[in-house]
Amino acid sequence: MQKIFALVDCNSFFCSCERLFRPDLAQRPVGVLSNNDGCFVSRTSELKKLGVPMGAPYFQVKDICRRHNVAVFSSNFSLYTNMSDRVMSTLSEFTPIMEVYSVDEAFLDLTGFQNLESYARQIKERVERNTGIPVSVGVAPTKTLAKIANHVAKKSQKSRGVVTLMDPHLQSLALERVEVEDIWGVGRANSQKLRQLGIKTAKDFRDYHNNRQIQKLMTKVGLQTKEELAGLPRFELNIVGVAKKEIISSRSFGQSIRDLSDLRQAVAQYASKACEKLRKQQSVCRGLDVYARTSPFANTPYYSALESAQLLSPTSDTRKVVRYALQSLESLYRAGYDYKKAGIRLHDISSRRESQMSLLEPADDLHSEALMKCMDQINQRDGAGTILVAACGVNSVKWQMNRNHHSPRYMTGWSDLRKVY
Amino acid sequence: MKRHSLFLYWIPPLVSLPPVRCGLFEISEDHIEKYQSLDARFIRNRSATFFFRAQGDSMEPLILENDILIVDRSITSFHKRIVILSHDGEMYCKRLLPSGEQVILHSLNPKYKDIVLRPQETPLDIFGVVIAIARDVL
Repeated sequence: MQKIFALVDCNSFFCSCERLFRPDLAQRPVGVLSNNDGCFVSRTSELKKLGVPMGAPYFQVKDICRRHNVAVFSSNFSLYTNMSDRVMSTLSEFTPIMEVYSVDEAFLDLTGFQNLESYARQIKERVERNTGIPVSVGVAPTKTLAKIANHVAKKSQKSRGVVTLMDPHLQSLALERVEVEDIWGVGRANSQKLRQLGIKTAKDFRDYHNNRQIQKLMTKVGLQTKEELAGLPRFELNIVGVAKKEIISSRSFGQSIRDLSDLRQAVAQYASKACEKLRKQQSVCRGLDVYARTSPFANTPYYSALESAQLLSPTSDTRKVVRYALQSLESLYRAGYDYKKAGIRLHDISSRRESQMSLLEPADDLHSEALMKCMDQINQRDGAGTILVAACGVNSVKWQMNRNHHSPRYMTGWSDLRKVY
Repeated sequence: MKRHSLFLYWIPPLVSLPPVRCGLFEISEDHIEKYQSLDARFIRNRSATFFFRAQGDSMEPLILENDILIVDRSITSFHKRIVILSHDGEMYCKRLLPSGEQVILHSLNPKYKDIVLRPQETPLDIFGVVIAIARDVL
């Protein structure tokens, strides 16, 4: 039977969440900033029209924002995850098989469904009715084509947010208008290679005669993408949560840090957070990188460094990871710089059960496992950071995130409920 | 009462008899049911239910200041219902009364005048229908 996939994607998701309880923003340009109020990560169409690109550093476009009365928000993650949950659970009413691809998009398996156009519109309308978040829906025989259908649905006024690309003729028309850079899974490097072959649009790519050359340039995944554009399903829905191969925890600081002792606290906290994620997916790690850097925008001397540590036996014990992380930090630290960001990356991750023992270093024993489990339970019950290793410090205000434009916790705090008159 | 004294006679000497279970009857797991849940009672569609906080006295006597309003977005018939809606950039809680081409936003408190809207000119922006009210009385 022919496969049918729908990609449902929320329009300017973070901004739409911010608008939900603020009808006064309906016509105003809205933008949401990344952690620490750094760059724009979500923009409404009005803000895009003002020429503010994705990822634009806020301080560079502050003037434009002031002149055009842009509503600027810090990221309100509790609001976005709550709304995401509502969108996803509404979508799950429409099909038993669904892949939550990110916080604001999901693939639905609609294989066997009839009247796709009207079903897709029903999906769109129910999500918008239930949650107030506008979405676009793209329907096609492969995931890659569904992505493109969604792209067209967002761009074209006429589609009113729904595009079905089941017909090969329609597929060709749509692919003609999509640049190679905009194909799902084709990165910037690959699209440059393709352009050298004279491939400019998604249609050029699909119709390119030499499959072997594509495989050589872009590996097997590249060829699979090409076949998906021709309507042959190569990518399945990813339903079970796959354990991550690396875990990153990093942040920019609210204000820059000079002292090693402050930096140590920050790195210890990021390491703790990463270990918590590691334990949540029942994994252990054997390697870690620590890095720190100054601001590339400030007029102060630039420094950036990364230091790795290899563990002899795999672990998920916060105390051990923090110890290694701090050693790495100390060897990369140079005094006299204004550090603006630091982070940790755990890698060499394997499942707790299949991890290999080492003779040289003891593995996590039962005491360690019990202690970590207890710590996670307390932090889950009483809030993150209730219990932490002492290296994280107790008054770490200095480097906490800047969140100067944070909206109320409309849906996660009773005192922040939206008022009505 | 007679029965009561009879019961007292039944208390056995502690040492000599084999242990007997006391109590009214044995509670077996078959009889355990969940506590009543206000969520289960009031929320029909979790992903479409939102809470708001009432301000002012315009909906007295039914709704008092600081009441928590439980609002269901999935309900689409608004006729004569109390709704949350946006008007001029602000959010209101009013009873919706259609009358011909117009829509009346009615405050339950007679102190407040009705607001008359023409949806043909400015489309109604209804957030959802108020399905219940929660209030602290302590």
